[in-house]
Amino acid sequence: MGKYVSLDQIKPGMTLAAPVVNRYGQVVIASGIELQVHHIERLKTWGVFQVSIQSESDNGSDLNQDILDLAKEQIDAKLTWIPRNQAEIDIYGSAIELAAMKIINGSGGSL
Amino acid sequence: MTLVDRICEQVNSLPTLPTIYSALNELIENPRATPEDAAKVIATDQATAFKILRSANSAFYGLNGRVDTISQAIIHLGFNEIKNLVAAISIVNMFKKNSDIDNFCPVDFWAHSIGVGVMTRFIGQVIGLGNVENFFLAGILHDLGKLIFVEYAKEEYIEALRIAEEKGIPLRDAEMTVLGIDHTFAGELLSDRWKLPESIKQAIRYHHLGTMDDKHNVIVASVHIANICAKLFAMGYSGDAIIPEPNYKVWEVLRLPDNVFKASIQSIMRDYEITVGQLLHNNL
Repeated sequence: MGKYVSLDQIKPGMTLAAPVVNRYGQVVIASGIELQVHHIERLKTWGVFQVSIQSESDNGSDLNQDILDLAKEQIDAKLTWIPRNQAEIDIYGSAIELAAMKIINGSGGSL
Repeated sequence: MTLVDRICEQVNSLPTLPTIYSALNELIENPRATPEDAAKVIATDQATAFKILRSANSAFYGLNGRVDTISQAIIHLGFNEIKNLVAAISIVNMFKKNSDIDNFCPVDFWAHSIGVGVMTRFIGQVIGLGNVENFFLAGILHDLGKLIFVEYAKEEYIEALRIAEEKGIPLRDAEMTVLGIDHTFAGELLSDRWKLPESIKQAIRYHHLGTMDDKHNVIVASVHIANICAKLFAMGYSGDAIIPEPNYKVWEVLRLPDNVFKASIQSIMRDYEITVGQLLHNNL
């Protein structure tokens, strides 16, 4: 999982943990890209104020499986339906990810 | 007088939106109006002016800290977006002071509503609509009718909330049983009273169905999905514990790209928290 870092703290060589998307949802810099000086310049001109960066101990892989299982249980308990298509799998999966982060971070929905 | 009549009558006696909202509405109709004219109108309400500047400088618009005056905010955001911000700020303020009842807490309610606003706006952007101005406000106001019940049929509403919780049924069904109307209908009454844009009124009326008389309506579809997402993502609490199943037809209307939520969930949550801070907390 990435950590949000404000743009003035960003240094070349850091790796994006999540894609940078514009307000139309289009990916402008993909996840996993190692940021170069020109990327940072461009982020500044776009007015981006923070990006998600992989921490050093973070190999970019997912959250701990036990925590994800626990989060899945929490979400399933509130649902009376099963995801039927790609979009529903997307919102369901995102909900599990958020719930997992909440378990790790204590309170608050985001990082 | 029946309960429904009483509620209708009371909606008609509710205060209108503040005069700056109607003054801005008139300005928008006038092709000769300049941003400075609108800025003068907004400057008459300093608390609102301050919040507009803060919103204009938020990360969402990508203008961080670069907007110093209301007329600059209007140039960057447009008349309509500013007008919608005025409406959102006034309505949240108007109903924020309601006292907690049973399992209905106004702060959680507004957090949910703002979450739906943020999600609706996100969906509008993803499907590539140039004009997503009404999306945010439509999301924020989708449950407006619940506030009418809390305000004017408190005892009955406590009963409806209790029944929904005990029986595990959707709150709307409990509202119909106890009050004879549901919050989508009450919300429509109030949007008439406040002369809100037609698209917002439709979103309030049809957000549970997701479609409008089988006609494709992108804003209704977006609010429908946004409402389900806000519940799934635990943004606030609407008073209804059930997370409804999406109307399958809505996905065909929206045609969202694969994994768009997963890719953006962190930035959505940031946007949500910042917007809650701006509209709900740190009030003047």
